[in-house]
Amino acid sequence: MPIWAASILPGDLGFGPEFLGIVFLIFVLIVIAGLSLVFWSNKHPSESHRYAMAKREWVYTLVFLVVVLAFASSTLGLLPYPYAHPGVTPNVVIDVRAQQFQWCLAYYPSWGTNCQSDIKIPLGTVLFNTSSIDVTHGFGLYSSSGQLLDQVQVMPGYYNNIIYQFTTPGTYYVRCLEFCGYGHFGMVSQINVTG
Amino acid sequence: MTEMREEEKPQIVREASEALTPYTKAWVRRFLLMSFLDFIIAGTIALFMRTDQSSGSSLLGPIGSPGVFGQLETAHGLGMFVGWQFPFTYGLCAYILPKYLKRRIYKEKLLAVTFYLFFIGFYMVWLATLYGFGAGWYFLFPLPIFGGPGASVPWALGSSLVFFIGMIITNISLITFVISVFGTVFSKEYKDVYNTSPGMNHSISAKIAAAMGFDAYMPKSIRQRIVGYPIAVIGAVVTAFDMIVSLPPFLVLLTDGAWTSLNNPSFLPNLVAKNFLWLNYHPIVYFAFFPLVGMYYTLIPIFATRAFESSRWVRAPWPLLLIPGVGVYSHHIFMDTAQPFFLQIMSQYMTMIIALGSGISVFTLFGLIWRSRYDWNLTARWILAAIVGWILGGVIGVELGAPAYNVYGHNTYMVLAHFHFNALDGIVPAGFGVLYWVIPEITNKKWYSQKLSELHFWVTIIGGFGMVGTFAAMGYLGVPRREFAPVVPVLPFTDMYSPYLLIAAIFAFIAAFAQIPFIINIIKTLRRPSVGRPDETPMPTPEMIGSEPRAPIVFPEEGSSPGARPGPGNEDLRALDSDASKGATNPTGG
Repeated sequence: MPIWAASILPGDLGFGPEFLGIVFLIFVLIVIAGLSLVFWSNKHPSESHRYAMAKREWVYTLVFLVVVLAFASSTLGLLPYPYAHPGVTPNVVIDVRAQQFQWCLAYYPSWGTNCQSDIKIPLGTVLFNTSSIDVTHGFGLYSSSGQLLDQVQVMPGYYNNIIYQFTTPGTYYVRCLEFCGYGHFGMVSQINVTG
Repeated sequence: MTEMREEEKPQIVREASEALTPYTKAWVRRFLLMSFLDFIIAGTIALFMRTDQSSGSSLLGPIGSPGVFGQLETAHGLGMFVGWQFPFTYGLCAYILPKYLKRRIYKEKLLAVTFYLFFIGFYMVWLATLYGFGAGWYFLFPLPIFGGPGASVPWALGSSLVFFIGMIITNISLITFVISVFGTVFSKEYKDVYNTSPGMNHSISAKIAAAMGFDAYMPKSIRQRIVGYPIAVIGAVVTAFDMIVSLPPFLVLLTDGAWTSLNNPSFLPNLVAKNFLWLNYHPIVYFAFFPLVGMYYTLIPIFATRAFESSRWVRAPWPLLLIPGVGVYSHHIFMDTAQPFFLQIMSQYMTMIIALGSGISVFTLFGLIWRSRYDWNLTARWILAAIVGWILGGVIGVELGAPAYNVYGHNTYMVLAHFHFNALDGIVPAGFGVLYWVIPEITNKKWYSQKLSELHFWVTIIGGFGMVGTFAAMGYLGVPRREFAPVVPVLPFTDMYSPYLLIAAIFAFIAAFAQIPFIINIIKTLRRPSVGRPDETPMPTPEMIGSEPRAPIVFPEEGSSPGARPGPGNEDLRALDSDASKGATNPTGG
C-alpha cells in the first residue's frame, strides 16, 4: 500500500484559519464600498454610451493574475505535497484505525489492537498512521478550544500519514470529518498530550 | 419533384419569436415549473436539516434521527444541484437558443424526451432517499453499500440500486439535452448568418471555437472571418461541453454503484471512484451558472443602454471558465494524500485560473454599469445579488483552493459557505431574475403583482445572505459540516456552535417564507388571461454584446482572377444579423 507523508508544522504557514476569516471580511468591506461607488456613479452618468473601463481591463487582469498566482505559489515552499518534511523524525507514531463508528488509536506497531479512545502521548512531533477498514472517514484534529489543527482523509486500502507537532500539553480531540454513516456524528476520540 | 416536408425545409427565421415556437415555450414552462417545485421540496428538506442542526440550542427540537438526517442531506443536496438545477438549465437553454440565436431548437421533440427521462430518473433518486438511502449527495464509495455495523436502520441495498439506476437515467437526459444544444448551435441545416455569410469561415472548428470564446484569443485576421455567437449561447455551449466531457467516467462510477448494490464487489478502487465522482460533480455546480452568466452579459447592456467596447473582453473569460471548469476537480481531493501530486498541482492552478475568468467577468460587467443610466429594475437587482454571491463565494473558493489552507476548511462550514454563496446567493437569485424576465414572454401573461415580487426579492436576499454569512463565520471557526446536534458528544467547545446554528436556522426560515409571495404571484399570474401578443423581452444589439462588426473578405471583381467573387460589405452582414432593439417595456415594471 502506498505510504504518503503529510504534515503541517505550526509556523509553516505563519497563521491559522483566523487569517482567512480576516481576508474574507476585508473582501466583504470591499464589495460594500464597491457597490456604494457603483450606485453613486449611476447618479452621475457619463454622456458616453460606450463601455468606459476597457482601457483599465488589462491592468486589472494582470493584477488579478499576479495576485492569484502568487497566492497559489506561496504554498509551493511546502513541496512536495502533501507537506512532507523529510528532515523531521517523529517522536511517536500512532496507528489510527477508523471504522464505523469509532477510532482505534494505539502506539505503533499495534494497528487495530490495544485500542484506546483516550490515548496519552508526550509533547513533540507525532506521526499519525491512518487507515480505515470500511468506508472513508476524516481524521480531524481539534484543540480544546475548538480550533481545527490538521486533517486528512482516512480511506480503506490506503495508509495516509500526517505529522503534527504538539507544543502545548493538554487535551485534544479527534473528530470524524467525513460523513461515514449514521453514527458519524458521535465518532470522537481524545488525545492527552503530557509535558 | 416531390415537395419538401415542412420539417425538411431550411430553418430560416427572421424574428426571434418565430424561433421560440409555442411548442418550445410549452416545454420551457414545464422545465421551469418542475425546477421550481423541486426547489421548494429541497428547500423544505433543508429546513428540517437546519432544525436538527440547531437543536442543541434547545429552542428548536430535533425533527429527525441520525439515520433520517443522512437521508435528508442526500435528498437536499441532490434536490438542489440536480432536481432544481437540471430542469432549470434545460428550460433556460431551450429559451436562450431560439431567442438569441434565432434558430428553432434542433429536433424540438427531444425536449420532451429530455423532460421525461429526467422526470423518471430524478424522482427515482428521491424515492431511494425516501426508502432509506442516505449516503450523502456525493456518496463516497464504498459508503453507498455500507449502512454500517451498529446502524439502527442501514439503508437497504434495494434503495441503493434504485438510487444508482435513477442517477444513470437522469444523466441520459443530459445526453439528449446536449444533442439539442449542439445540434442547434452547430448543425449545417440552418441557412442563416452562422452558416452562409459570404467570405466567412463556417467550418465546424471555427464554429466550435467561436461558441466557446476561443476566438477572443485569435489574431484579428482570423477572428474577423469567424461569425461570433451571442454570449448567452456561449454560456449554454460551454456548460453542455463541460458536462458531456465529464460524463463518461461518472457513468462508469454509477454503473459500479449499481453493480455493488447487487452484492458484487466494486470494480473501482476507492480513490479512482473519488476522481470519477468529482470529475463530473464539479462541472455540475456550473451547469446553470454558465448560461446564467451568459444572461448577465446579455441583459446588463440592455439595462445600461450601453455597448461593450470590445468583443474580446466579453469572450475572453469563457475558455478560462470552460477548461478549468473540469480541471479544478481535484481540489475536492486535496485532503487525500494518495492523490497523484501532479493532479493536486494542476487543480490548484486551475482553481486560480477559474477565479481569474470570474474576476474578468465581474469587472467587465460592473465596468458597463459604471456611470451608466442603469435601470435598477427587479431583474437587475436579482442579478446584482447573484454577482455579489459569486464574489463572496469566489473569495472562499480561492482560500480553499490551495491545499495549505484547505486543511483548515475541508469538510467544515467553510465549504458550505462557499457553495451556498454561489448557489443560494448566486445562481438562485440569478434564476429568479431570469424567471421574472422571461415569464411574460413564455406564458403570454403579465405578472400579477409588483409588490409581491419586491417582497420576494428583499426577504430572500436577507434570509439567504444572512444564513450563508453565518455559515462563513462557522467555517472560519472550524465547525464541522453535517452535525446532527442531538447526538454530537458534548465537547468543551461544541456549545459555542449553538448560537451560530440557531442564527443560521432563523435566517433559513426567513429565506423559506420569502418564497410564499412568489408562489402566490406565480399562481395568480398563470391564472390570468393571456394577452394577445406575448410581451417579448428586448434583444440586445450585436454591438451591445460585443459582436464586433466583422468584415468579410472582399474579393476582386468576378473574372479578374480565378475563383474570385465579390462579397457584400458590412451593411449587408448587419442587415442579416441585427434585430433592432425593441422598445418593449420591461415586463417587471421596474
